[in-house]
Amino acid sequence: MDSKEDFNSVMIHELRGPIDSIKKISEVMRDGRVCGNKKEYAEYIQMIHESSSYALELINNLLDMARIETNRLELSTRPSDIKQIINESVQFFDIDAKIAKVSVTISIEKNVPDLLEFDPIYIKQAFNNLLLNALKFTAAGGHITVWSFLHREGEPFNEEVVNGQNKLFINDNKNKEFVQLPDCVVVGVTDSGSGILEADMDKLFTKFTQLSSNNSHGSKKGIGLGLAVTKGIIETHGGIVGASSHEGAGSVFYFTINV
Amino acid sequence: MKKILLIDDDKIFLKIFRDTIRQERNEVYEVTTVTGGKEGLIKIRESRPDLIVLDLKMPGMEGIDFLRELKKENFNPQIPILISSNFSDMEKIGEGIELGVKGYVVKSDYSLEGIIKYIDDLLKN
Repeated sequence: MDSKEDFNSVMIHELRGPIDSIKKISEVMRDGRVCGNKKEYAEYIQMIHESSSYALELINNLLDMARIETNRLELSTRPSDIKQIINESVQFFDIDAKIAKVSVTISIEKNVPDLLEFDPIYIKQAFNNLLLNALKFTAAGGHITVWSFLHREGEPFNEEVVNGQNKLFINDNKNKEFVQLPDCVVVGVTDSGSGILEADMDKLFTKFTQLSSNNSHGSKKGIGLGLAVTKGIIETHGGIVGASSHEGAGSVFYFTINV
Repeated sequence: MKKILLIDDDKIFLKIFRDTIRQERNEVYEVTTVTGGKEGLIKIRESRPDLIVLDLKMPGMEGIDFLRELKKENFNPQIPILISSNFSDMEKIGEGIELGVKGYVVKSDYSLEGIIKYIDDLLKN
C-alpha cells in the first residue's frame, strides 16, 4: 500500500464502515424491527457508541497523520506530568476495559520524574493509541499492564516492570538497542492479547498496517494509523517507539520521552 | 428454507444482518456468518449455501482471493454470490463479476432492508 491513491481508497472504505453501521443500526431501531427488549436495546446503543468512537478515532488520526507528514505538527511543550497523563488515560478507558472484560493495572516506578518537558495533549494521544490498541487485541479475561520507568543510559530494560504479569518479551537484541538510549522515561503497555506474527512486526508503526491476522473484537478492525501517529508524535519529540511480541502470548508497545 | 452464508469481517454488520433476518425473514432464510474467506471455504464444504454474501476487504483472505479459490472448487451449479462491501474499487468489482459474481452493493448506498430485497430477488431467480 504505497500510493496516495491506494491510501485514500482504503481510508474512504475504513470511514464508510463505522458511519454506515451507525446509519443501519439507527434505521433498524427507528423502524422498530429489532430491539424487542432492554438487553437488545443496550447492545444496539453500545454498537452505535463503538462505531462513532472508531469513526472519530480514524478522523483524528488522519488529521494528525497529515500534519506529521507535512511537518506541520506544532508542539506546545511545557513541564508536564506523565504520571497524571497515564492515570487519566486509564481512567478514561475504564468503561471500555470493563465492557471488554480486560483488567488494567498501572505500574509506575518511583524514579519517574514529576515533570518532563513535552506537549501533554500530543503525548496523551500517543499513549492513548497504545492503550486503545491493547484493548482491541486483548480478549475477554485478559490483562493489560501500563507502566513507566526512568531509563539511564547504559542500563538494560527493566524487565520486571515491562513484563508485569506477562511473559518475557524483550530479547537480547532489543536490550542491546535499549542500552544505548540516552536518559529517558519509558512509557509502555504490555498486553496478554493474541500477539503479532513475526512477518507483521516490520509493518507496525507504518501508515498502513493490514496485519495477516485480525483478532480484534468488536467492530474495530484497526488499520494501524494510530501507531503511525504515535510514532510521528514521539519522534517529533526526539524519542523512539518500539514493540516486542510473541504470537499467542501478547505484546509490548513503548515509547520514550527524553529527560 | 434457503441458506445464506455471509462472509464479512465487520462484526456489527453480521449481528444486525442476522437479527434483521431473524425478525423479517424468519422461516425463509437461515443465515450463517463467518468473518473471513478461509472460514467461508470451510463452511461451504461442510454445507453448501444457496447464496453467498461476500465482503471484499478482509484481513487474511480478501474477497477476490476467496472467489478465485471457490472457482477452483468448481461447484455445479455455481453458488450465486452477492458482493456487499464499502470498498467501491470498480476494478475489484469487475474482477468479481468475471469470477461469476451475480451482483454487488456498496453497503453504504443501501439500507439493510434494501440489501435484503436484493437478496430476495437473487434467490427468486
